[in-house]
Amino acid sequence: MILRCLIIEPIEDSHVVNENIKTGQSDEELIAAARDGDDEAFRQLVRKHQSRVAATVIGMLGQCLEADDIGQETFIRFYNALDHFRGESGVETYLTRIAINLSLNELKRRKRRNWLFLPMPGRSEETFEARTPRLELNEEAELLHQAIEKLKPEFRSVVVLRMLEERSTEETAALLGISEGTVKSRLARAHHKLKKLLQPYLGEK
Amino acid sequence: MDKKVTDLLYRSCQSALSDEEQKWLDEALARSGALRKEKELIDSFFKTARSSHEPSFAPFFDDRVMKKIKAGGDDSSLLEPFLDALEYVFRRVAAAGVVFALAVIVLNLGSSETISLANAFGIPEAKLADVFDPFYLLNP
Repeated sequence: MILRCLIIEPIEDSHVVNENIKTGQSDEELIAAARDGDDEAFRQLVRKHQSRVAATVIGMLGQCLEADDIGQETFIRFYNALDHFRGESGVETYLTRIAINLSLNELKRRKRRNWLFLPMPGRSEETFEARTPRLELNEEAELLHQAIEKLKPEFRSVVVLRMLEERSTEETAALLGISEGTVKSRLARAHHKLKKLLQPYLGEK
Repeated sequence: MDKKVTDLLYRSCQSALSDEEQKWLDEALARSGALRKEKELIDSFFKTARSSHEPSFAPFFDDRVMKKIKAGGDDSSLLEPFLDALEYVFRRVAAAGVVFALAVIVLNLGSSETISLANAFGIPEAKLADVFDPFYLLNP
């Protein structure tokens, strides 16, 4: 099941995306316009920040339909909270926080569904693969991502933010609502676990 | 491998070490081939993870988001909130149940003369022969 969500990379129409972000408006201006009911402004915000949200969500859940749903849900929550958003933490940080929380909830649901033997909604690999072609990651990266997916959610979130997104320890701690010491210890433990998981393959090399 | 040195090695990947710690680590790295190999491995983890992590959502993601917003946002079923609520209630009921069971066990053991599993659970002690005895069944 872990393998099902890996190495499926969609083709992003970067030309279209870049064309639309060229408006040069700041987040604050876009938010103000979106608050006044300008849907196009909110669409610009989505285009501007979707890659960061994708990095977080796909890092946490793997590349699968659920990740797309959680990504959408992240922006919907943001849209619903526009009136309350004061801009103290920045749009990107705010979105990452929502994305992390929703991803953690989704992992909890996955665990529960596995336990209850319920079918996973939207986890039809065939449907997703028909829509998006595979990207051939190198073997090492593939193994590493598989290993990351085997980590417990609390370790995985730290690995995604620190290792994959290259955020600082301080930033990671703030996003997850834990102390910097906890971030460091979780990352060290995650490294040990990753090493253990990858040891058989490293041995082969 | 010395755990302290290994911890220092992992910490060095996350944040800058103090001068003294860095010097100590450098010396340890110069001495130990195994430690150098470990460092290479950690560096490789970071490098591989970063280089391979440039994910994006499927095309027309913004269209899907806007469509959902127009449709009224959250279209998730009621099953998940129900299961969340069920789990919340179950945890509290289970915790209260365990506390209650422990209290009963302590009370039973306190009021009995000997410590046994049967006494702990308040089960009347009976021999196998008694169980099949019709008189015992009628008046245990």
